[in-house]
This record gives sequence, structure tokens and C-alpha cells, in this order.
Amino acid sequence: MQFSTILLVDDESAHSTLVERNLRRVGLTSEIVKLENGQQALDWLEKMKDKNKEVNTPFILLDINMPVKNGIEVLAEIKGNQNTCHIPVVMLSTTDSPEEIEQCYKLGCNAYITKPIMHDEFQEKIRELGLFMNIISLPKYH
Amino acid sequence: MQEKRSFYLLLLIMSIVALVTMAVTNVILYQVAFKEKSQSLVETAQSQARLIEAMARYNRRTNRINWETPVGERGPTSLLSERAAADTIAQLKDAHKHYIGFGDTGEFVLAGIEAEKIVFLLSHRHDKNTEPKPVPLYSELAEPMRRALFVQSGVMVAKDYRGIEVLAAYEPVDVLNFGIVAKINMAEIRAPFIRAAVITWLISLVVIFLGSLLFRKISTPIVEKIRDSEKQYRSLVEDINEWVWMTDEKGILIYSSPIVVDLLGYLHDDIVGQSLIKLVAKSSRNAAKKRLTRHNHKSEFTNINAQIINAQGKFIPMEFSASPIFAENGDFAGYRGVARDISERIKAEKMQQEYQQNLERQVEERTTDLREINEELKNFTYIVSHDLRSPLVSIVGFSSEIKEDIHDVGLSLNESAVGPGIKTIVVNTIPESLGFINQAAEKMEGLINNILALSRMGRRELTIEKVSTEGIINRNLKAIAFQLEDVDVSLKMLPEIESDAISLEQIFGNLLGNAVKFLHADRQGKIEIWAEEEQNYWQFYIRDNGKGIAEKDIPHIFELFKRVGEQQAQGDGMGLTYVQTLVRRLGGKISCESMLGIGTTFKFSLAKTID
Repeated sequence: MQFSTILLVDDESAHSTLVERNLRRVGLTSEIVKLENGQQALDWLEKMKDKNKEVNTPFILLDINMPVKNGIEVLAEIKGNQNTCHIPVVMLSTTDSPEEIEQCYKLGCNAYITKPIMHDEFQEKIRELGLFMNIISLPKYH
Repeated sequence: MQEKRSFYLLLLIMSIVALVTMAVTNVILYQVAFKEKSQSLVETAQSQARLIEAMARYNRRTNRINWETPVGERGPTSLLSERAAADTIAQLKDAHKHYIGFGDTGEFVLAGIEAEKIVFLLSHRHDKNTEPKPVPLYSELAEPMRRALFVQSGVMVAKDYRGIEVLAAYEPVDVLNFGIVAKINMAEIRAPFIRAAVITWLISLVVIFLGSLLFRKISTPIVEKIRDSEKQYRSLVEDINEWVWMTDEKGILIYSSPIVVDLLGYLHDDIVGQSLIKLVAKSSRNAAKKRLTRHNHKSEFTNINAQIINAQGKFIPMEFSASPIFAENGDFAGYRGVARDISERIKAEKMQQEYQQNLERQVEERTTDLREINEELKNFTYIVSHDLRSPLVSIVGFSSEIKEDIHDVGLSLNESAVGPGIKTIVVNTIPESLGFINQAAEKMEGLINNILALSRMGRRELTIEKVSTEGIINRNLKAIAFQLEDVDVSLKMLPEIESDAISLEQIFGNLLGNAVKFLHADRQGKIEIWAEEEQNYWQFYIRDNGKGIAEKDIPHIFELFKRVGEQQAQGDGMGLTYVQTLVRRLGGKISCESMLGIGTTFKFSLAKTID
């Protein structure tokens, strides 16, 4: 059982490409939607809700530092809304600033992953994430 | 001059007083003497009269004179009477010859009336041989005798037969119808008194004069002393730079020290008699009036400021202090006080205030600047941790992708088809190049992490507590014990201070690590650590006998990523930058002294307590 959709929100397309490739490598077959900023992610969620109430709950991978609307704002909106607060959100960021990590957990993120620079570590982390997403499943998105 | 006049006046007054006193005493004494004399004259006159009467009666009896018959009615017997009278007179004359009289001028006078004239019967001391000439019965002369002849008895001051003023007692002599007068010249009575008056007056004049001289001699030094003291006080009051003044109960100035000319431009004589209240600027005049005149106020006041109008009409800020004056009966009598010009002080205070405000503004500006810088630093940290990292993730990520891809390509590449050159490129050259890229990225990551760590250290919250520096050093030494096997380490005088333990741990850790790392290979290592107490801080020293640092390098050792000297030891070039940041945060300073080949001493201060 897999999530039907994974939202990969990152303004750095290089990063999302790397993440996508590595997720695919662990056998993840879900649809991966790549978005470039926070607003697009919120719009996508809104659109999906209107279009099809029976759609599967997405899994969101959220970068923090983005134009228009940053990851923290998006996280706050998703987790602050009764209809969307159950959507799993994993923060994917290049910073390891303790304040930021703490802030994200306070806002209700499900996990915080610092993108490692060294590729071995990066691959390992994304692999774990992919495996994790393979295992868990969530109820349908209302 | 004034003094001399006072002296003469004193002399005059005393003389008059003496004179009056003597005159009064003299008059009283004179009156007593006069009375006594009068009495004695009366007694003398009366006794003489009675004696003469007795003689006459006796003579008449022997001449068978009917003495009982009044003289006018004796008729034929009057001849006898005449004889008897003549006898008596003869006897009297005879007796009188041997009698000089009393005193210098005292004498008896016996007279009768003959043909409207007073006829004197006896010779007198003033004219020994003959009787005085008769005087008319009614004239100014011989008034006492006249009264005696008119059968009156008494005493009086009047002119005698010579026209000289005398004190005379008069008495009628019965039987002979004579009058007797005992008299003495007034001059004689007065003479001793006049003499006494003159003598005592002269003596007292001399005494007064001498006394005054003596008084002056005694009092002059006292007066001079008082004058000196007064002068001193006056100069004290007049020489001080403050205006000394005194007002009456209505606020009118009754004294003003002369400095008022310098302070306010008023002449002394112009201002005395003026109302002090009217000198106060209108705005506070009522308050001044209340303070200076209200009877129930009467309390002293200090450092009251008021604007005073000077001679040019300008306002001078002055500060007043005064105490009330009370009359002897306890009534409020005014104020006595001082005032000083405080324009300069006000100016200085204003300047001080401006300076203060300026300073505050500057501090505020600086604080804002600092806050901004701090904010920028925070952003910088973010940039370092995110924006610099982000491209690295891509560089490393894709170079790894390429590495894997090229690996796959290499495996499937048919060498015979592409030639050995291409195969070498794919299998060796490209992976090698990617390896360098990866290495560079790795190094870059290390630098970024260090910058981040430094920045975070600078902003970390300190936990201030009592820390034993010796304990911290010992823990650090233990951690590097394996490197210290042949090193002589000595600790001395290491105090307990109030500071942040983690920072201290890192400071000592880095410095000790450096000391060990750069020890000289050719000689036994020696590290000394000690502290010296200063007023507000402790000065710590860490001295080694290691390789030392070249003089030209010393200024750069605290710079970020700087590594100086021969690079034989491992290091990221962060340690000392780190240490400096921490020492500064703990309120201290760090410096380094070193000689190449001899050794290095790091010296840093730590505040005893941190606010």
C-alpha cells in the first residue's frame, strides 16, 4: 500500500530531482507532484478537495526556504486547518538550525529531515523516507 | 575726629553732672547752715534783748522809775527814766567796748528812734570809734532794726545800716524802747560754701579729666579690638562672592554687601531702602512676598531660586538662603541671608543635560546599530546554513549521480568499439574529477559548519554559575592525557569564578589543545597554567615551551580559518577565533606573546562576575 500522491515542494528543482530519483530507487511508484513554492502546494490541496473528495491523502515533503510562501507558513496553514491537519508533512531543509527545527515540530510537522550534503547520507535518508512511506498508509483525503 | 569730639562731650557731660551734684549738695548744706545761723542769731538777739531789759529795769528801779508806767505816760518821772536809760546805755557802751563781735562780720546793733530817725547807740566793729550815722526811719537801709523798733521779732535777710546785705535777727528791747539786731554779713555765711564749691568743683574737674584719660587709655584697646573684629566680620561678609543682605519685616533691604554692584549693578546706597521683593521677577514676586514678610511663615529657607531684575533690567537667576530675624520681644523683624548668581551653574547644568541627552541619543543609535548588526548576523547564519549549503547539496548530489551513471556506462562500454582513450576517460578520468569535486564540496561543508558553530556560540545563552577553573582544566587535561605522558604540566592559583562552564571548557580545551599540539619535538614539553587576581577580573596564563609563533604571524592568529606556521598538525583554523569569541562574551580579552622556537604564552582575562 502506497500513498497515491507525494507532493514534493521545493523551489530548487535540482533538489527535488535528487529526492525523486532516490525515492524511485527504493521502489516508490506513487505519483510525485513537484511544486516550486508553498502557495502552489496550498492551491493544489484546495483544487484536489474541490475536484475529488475521494482522492487519497497526499504525503507532503516540504522545503522551508522558498519564495512566495515558505515551508513554515505552509506547514502552519495545513496543520492549523481541521480539514488538512491529518496530512503527513515531512520538512526537508538544508538548514539544521535548532530554532527552526523546534518551530516546525511545534507547528506539528511529522518529521524534520536535514538534507545532508554528502550524497551517501542523502541517499540513505531518502531511502529510509521512501521505505517509511511504503509501509504506512493513511485514510482517504476528505 | 568723631572720637575726639565724643571724648570732649563725655568730659563736658561729666563736668556738668559733677557741678549740678555739687550745687545741689551745697545748696542743701547752705540752707542748713543758714537756718542754724539764723537760729543762733535769733537766740543771741533775744538773750541780749532780755539782758538789756534786765539792766534797764534795774537802773530804773534804782532811779525810782515807775517802770510799770508806759514810756509815753511817765509824765514828770520821765526825767528819771531818761537817766536810767542813759545809765543803761552807758553801761552797755562800756560792756560793748570789750566785745569785738562774733565771726568776721557778726555784731550787735542797738538803736532807738529819735526824730523820725533811727539812731544807733553803740559804736560798731566797722567803725570802731563812732556810732554809725542815723538813718531815716523809712528807707531801704536797716530794715531789721526798723522792724525791731516797731516791736517785731524775727530774722531776715536785708540791708543793714551800711546798705550791706546781712542776715539779721531783730528783737525789740522793752523798757528802753530800743531795738536790737544781731547780724552777720551774708557774704560771710556764703563764703565757705562758695569756696567749698569752687574747690570741689576744681578737684572734680581734675579727677574727671584724669578719669576720662584713664578710661580712654583702658577703653581704647578694647574699642580697637572690637573695631578689628567688626572689620574682620565686615570683610568676611563683603569679600565673599555671595550677596549678603538683610531685610526688615516688610522686605525692605536694610543691609546689602557691596558685591551687589558686581552681581546686579546696583550701588549700595541705591539698593538699601529698596524692597527686595520688588527686585524679584513678577512671576514669582507673590511667592517672594509671602516668604519674606508673612508673619506666620518665619521659617528659614535654603536654596530657593528666583529671577532677580538687575540694574539693566535683565533677569539674573539667583539662589537664596536666609533665616528670620526676631526682635528681642520675639516679634518677626525680617530676614538675613545670602544669595548667589547661579547663571553659570544653570548654563553648566543645561550643557550637562544636553550632553547627557546627546550621549543617550548616541547610545540609542549605537544600540540600534548593534541590534541591526546582530540581526544581520542572524541572517548571515541562516544564509550560511541554508543558502550556501543548498547548492552544495546539488553539486555533491549530481556529481554522485554522474559517478554512478558513468560507472554503469563504463561497465557496458565496449572498449573495442570506442577505443582505449574513451574507456580511460570514462573509467578513470571522469570518476577522478568527480572525486575532486566531492572533496572540495566536503571541505566547503566543513567550513560552513565551522562558521555556523562560531555564530551559534556567539549567540548561545550563557549559564552563569560558580565554576572552579581548576576543575575545568583538570577535566580537559584528562581528555588529552594520552598526549601528555612526557609533558610537565603545572597548575597554580586557579580560582573559582562566576562564569559559563561550557564556554570555559572550550576556552581551556582549545588553548591546552594548542599548547600540546605545538610542543617542540626536541625537548621535554612544559606547560604552566596560572592565574593572577586583579581588581575586577582574573588574568589567566597558559605558557608552553613549544615551537612558538613568528612575530609577523601573531596579529593573525585569531583570524577565522587562519593557520600560521608549518602545517604539521591537524586543525581547521577555527580554535583561536572561537576562543576569542568566547573570552569576549565572558567580558574578557585575550592576547598572545610568543617567540619562535622558545614558546608561547596566551594571556586572557575573565570577569569575576558577569552581569
